[in-house]
Amino acid sequence: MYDDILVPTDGSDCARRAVEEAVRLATAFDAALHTFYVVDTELSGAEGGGAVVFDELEAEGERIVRDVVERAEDAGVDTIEASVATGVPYRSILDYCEEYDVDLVVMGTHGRTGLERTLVGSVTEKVVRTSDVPVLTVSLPSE
Amino acid sequence: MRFLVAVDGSRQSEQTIEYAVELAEATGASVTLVYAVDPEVYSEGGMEPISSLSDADQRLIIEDIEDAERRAEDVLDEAVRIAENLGVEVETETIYGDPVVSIPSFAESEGYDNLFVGHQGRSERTERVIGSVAKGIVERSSIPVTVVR
Repeated sequence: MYDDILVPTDGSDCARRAVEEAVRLATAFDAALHTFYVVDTELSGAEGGGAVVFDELEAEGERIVRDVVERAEDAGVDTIEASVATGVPYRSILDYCEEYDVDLVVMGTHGRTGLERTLVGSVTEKVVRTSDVPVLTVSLPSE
Repeated sequence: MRFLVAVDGSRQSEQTIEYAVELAEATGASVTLVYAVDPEVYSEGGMEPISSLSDADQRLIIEDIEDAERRAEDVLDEAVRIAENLGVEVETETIYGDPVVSIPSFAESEGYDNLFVGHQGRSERTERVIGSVAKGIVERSSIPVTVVR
């Protein structure tokens, strides 16, 4: 049923929960696990100091993605694809789905920033709304 | 694993049933189909006779709660047929209230593991105005939700 599962991550607690779920499914279905971090070009911007911010975000993305890979390996997932992309997050996610023929996207409902904690993360919302691929959304347990 | 599938009789909900049933077969999960009867929509009747065109416009859309329940039955019957055609036994539940609120809370209180909901392909502009049930459910659910298109 699932051959390729994508779990985009921003390193948030909620994304970590999504990773758990994605790893569980990848193991159960013997599917390839894809993960990637998107350096948001709209946030890092090309204006003043952009390059420094960009490099830092990219390094952070690599750290976050490495963490996912380690957890997937520990769980016994055989095929893992990890990368750091640059672009507008939701569009990068949709493009990735198309390019790799992804069967399922797993995402946290809450984004990283404070404001989004009360709403569905805007990236998840856009993906839910525009993706042709099924989207599994995972939330943090309510406090 | 116990799956809960939100149905509303739309084409998307048919696809969602097929999807959830296939996944349930692969994982050995049970499937329950749920329909939310939304009384608010159907209980706006007034005591006064219709006296103007705008009254008529507002009140002729009123549907009796029993009609709404009959519709729930029809939708669930059809949903069960879809699942049975795929060779799977499913259970059904009828609940009351705005689906965006009642479905996630039902899923949580009944201890389901995953909720499945179809997503209608509306334009961004339309959705900003009338919203999306799928999005509302994702927002409120504490259990994982799979949005199927």
